[in-house]
Amino acid sequence: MRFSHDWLRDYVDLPDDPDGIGRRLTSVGLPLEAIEGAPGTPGGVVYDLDVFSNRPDCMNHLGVARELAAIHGVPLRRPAPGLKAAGPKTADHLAIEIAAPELCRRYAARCVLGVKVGPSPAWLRERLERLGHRSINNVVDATNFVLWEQGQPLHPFDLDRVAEHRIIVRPARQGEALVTLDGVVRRLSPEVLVIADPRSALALAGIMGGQSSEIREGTTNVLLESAWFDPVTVRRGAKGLGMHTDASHRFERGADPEAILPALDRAAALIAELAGGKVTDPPLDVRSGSEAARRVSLRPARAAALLGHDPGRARMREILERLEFRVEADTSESLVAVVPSFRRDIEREVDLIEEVARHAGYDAIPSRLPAVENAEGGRPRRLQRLDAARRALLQDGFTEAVNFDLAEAEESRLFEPEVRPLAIENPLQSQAASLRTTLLPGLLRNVAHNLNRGLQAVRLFEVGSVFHPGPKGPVELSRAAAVVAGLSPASHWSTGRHEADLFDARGAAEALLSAMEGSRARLASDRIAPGAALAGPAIEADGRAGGRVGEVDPAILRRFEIDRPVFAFEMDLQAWLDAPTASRTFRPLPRVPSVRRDLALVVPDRMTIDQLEAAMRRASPLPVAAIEVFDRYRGKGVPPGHASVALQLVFQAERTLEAEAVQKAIDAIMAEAERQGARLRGTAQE
Amino acid sequence: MQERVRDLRRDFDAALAAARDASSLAALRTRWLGRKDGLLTALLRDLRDVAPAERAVAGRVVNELKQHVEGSLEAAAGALLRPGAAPSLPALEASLPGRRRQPGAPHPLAQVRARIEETFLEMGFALGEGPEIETDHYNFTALNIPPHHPARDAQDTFYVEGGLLLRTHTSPVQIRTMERQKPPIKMVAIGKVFRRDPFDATHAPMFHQVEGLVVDEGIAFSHLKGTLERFCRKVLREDVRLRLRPSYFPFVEPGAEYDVSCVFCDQGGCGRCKGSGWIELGGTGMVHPAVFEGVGIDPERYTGFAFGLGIERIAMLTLGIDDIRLFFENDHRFLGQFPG
Repeated sequence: MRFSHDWLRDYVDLPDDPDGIGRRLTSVGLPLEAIEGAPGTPGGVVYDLDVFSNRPDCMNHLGVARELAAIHGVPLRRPAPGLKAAGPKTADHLAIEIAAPELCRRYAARCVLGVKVGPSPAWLRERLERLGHRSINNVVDATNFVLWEQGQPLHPFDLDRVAEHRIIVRPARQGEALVTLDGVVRRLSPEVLVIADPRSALALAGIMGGQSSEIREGTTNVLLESAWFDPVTVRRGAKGLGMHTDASHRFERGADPEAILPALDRAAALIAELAGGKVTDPPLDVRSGSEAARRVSLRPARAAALLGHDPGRARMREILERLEFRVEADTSESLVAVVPSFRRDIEREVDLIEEVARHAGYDAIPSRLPAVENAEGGRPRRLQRLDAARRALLQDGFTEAVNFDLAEAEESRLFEPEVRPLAIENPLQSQAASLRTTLLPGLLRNVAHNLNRGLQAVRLFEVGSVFHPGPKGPVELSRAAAVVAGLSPASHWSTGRHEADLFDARGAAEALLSAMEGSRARLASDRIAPGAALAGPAIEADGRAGGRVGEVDPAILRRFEIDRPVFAFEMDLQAWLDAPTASRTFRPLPRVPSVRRDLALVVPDRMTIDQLEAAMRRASPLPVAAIEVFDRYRGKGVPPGHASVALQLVFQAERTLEAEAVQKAIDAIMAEAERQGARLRGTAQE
Repeated sequence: MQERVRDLRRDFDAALAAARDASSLAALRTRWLGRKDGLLTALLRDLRDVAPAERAVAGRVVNELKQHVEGSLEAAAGALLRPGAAPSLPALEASLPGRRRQPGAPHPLAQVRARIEETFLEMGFALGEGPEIETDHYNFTALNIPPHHPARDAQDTFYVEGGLLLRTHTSPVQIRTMERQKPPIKMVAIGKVFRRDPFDATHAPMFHQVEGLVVDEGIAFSHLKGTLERFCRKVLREDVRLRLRPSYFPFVEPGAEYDVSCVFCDQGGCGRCKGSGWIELGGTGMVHPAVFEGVGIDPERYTGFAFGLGIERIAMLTLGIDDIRLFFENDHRFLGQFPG
């Protein structure tokens, strides 16, 4: 909001130090955004200040001057209304009826009769233009001048266009139309308060006037309105109509009901001065009850305790008085301050403490560290586990991605066909009109982005929330997902690079699963869902689905404009995050070395390694410490529908194992493997 | 016999000269001294066939050879352990890249988050959390922002079906924490927040915030200053200065925004601080008594402070990033610049 240095000087003496003034205004809560112009130049200095919504009293020059007067400890010069002696009676020319007194607590008006509408004098035009407002004519400019001077929005009507010279303040009728000053036809609803005559609506109360009663060349009699409208009604009305005006900005933040008459008088006098005419008197002033002045007490000791700094009782009182609080009682315990009517924001003691703090200066408050004994310190288990999941994937060579939670519903359904995405009611764009139910579409976009930029290797993961509808409302679920495409990263010149395959994605899932201390989730290789978006093994925990690993369906990839195979996994972390910590115990180290035997088996494709391994463990008379796959071969010498799989069996017993015992175990294991459909291709011995 | 021993000795010396490492020495030892098939073992065995008259002499030369072989192997093995004994490595080989595991890079926002978390954990804070889908109550009303309050304008909200919304700030975590836990409270929560802002270089519809809350008896504005000062110095630079200026957030009173002295120009004036010498970091203030009343904490007995700041903002400042969109494109060339 723009304020002219020269205009402020009408009300307060100021040094010629715009930078210093800007700094001081910032320090009391009117932050300077920019300074324009220089002292002594035409138009002078303009301050652009950010005036917060709780300070409508500072949305005008007099209000900012009041803060400056308090800062500098100098008097504030209030503009005199300058109304001349009594004129014609207002009541002879106008009647006011308030049909919604709770929404318009006060409505005052005067008329100026016999005006000559014309251009404003140079001084007035310059003042308004310096603030970035267009000069319209002497009558309208006079009201805008008063708005920028003291903050009260005023509205002038062409009195002769008000039917029967009767003003009615009422809610609009459903479907009622009004052409506002900007030429737009507005369809109204009872949410909006209007100023009407007995025939039709003339203006949107507190928002904008209407074209029909606008001040134009040839207007001779002016009806000048100065009123108080309910903030919520103005705000709702303006929002509903998609409007925001200088008037609505102030009314919705709370106008000063006591500023109504001074502003009315000031504007009426100014109109008479600029456009001639006679001001009617006394003003009509219709109000429903009056607001009692608020009294708030301040305990200086409490202020000092809350701030951690004591400016002293005398200084507190001085600050309040400079800001026009009247200190009514000053006992040993507390000061009782009468709140000026323009301070809509002051309701309780802490508000007065803020007044003291900002004028005593936040800089004066020392820095200390609090000594708080915190019972619930540290990082909760859930966050520790999420970090552990991220670390596992980072260590496996995956780089971390962060995508928006907002997603396109159709893309989510590709991976979660059973889940209905939760809708965003007011999306910015259709591609982000729902909440994601899966992490994969976001990661696939990232794959496309990287491949399109010529990157050869993409290995990304994300740990984040997805949102599913639940019986008691939306459920936020933590998940992890990873994608891999293109070449494997260059690990070393001595080993080649390979095209991404299922085992990259499976490896990532395995790395994550092994980091999930206390989780019962595992890869279920025999649960391959034909036609699933990910063609590969399922992830299960206690028989419940917990995700999937596999190659992304090429049809889906085409949708993302990806022309290379992509392998991925997605896993639910929620059950694990909620699970109790598993206790870890030590296993004694074996006292004798283990015995290793390699087996090459021809295994039918219908069999999983898990099944084969389970059969071998079942059949072995000796304890099997591990069974590891070290090769898989398809091709010459292996029948179709089969693969040759080389396994290393590690036996570990309490005693040294004799070769015969090991051979007996191998025989038993092979017998069982053969019953399951595998057969021996050859044995090797280490 | 003596002739045979001489030949064997020559063979051994040649083989020893060729042996350069421990494994070839071991092979040599097996070949010559092996219990079953070692050359010397065989020679000693053959000694039995030597005529008794010559046996004494033959025995001596064979024994000498045995001592020579054993001693030489011993000496050669010892020499291998001495520094400088390794065969010389060509410079080219030495210059080839080594073999190492290549971990992925944590997201820069996660790195900043971790640094902030560590700083607050060191200061004795607990880490908290809250849901991303919120109710109007937690996001606004309980924070002293009733319906139709103008402060809602500053936080354009995404609404979710069923009368819910995406939280516009992490401040709802303050309410959830105070409902769950009685003072003393000392917590920070970091998470995603959402604003209905168009996606451009400085705005994103989703970003990350840090929320802090300290509540106890006797907590003052000076504690807020001390805590933020410590935090900024740890996370940004040891010598930054902190500035608080009055501001307005309905859930704090007195309210403030806090700035740090510009880390780019040391307050000489530059583009990043728009010549002001200060960089705006976030909002803070003393918890509003109305907020305490809403969660059943007696504002006469307890006081507290709260603060917030944006992770993206800190990341952009500390890493010199000028476009927020880079964080969400997940371009490997960007993410790879910040290995953990």
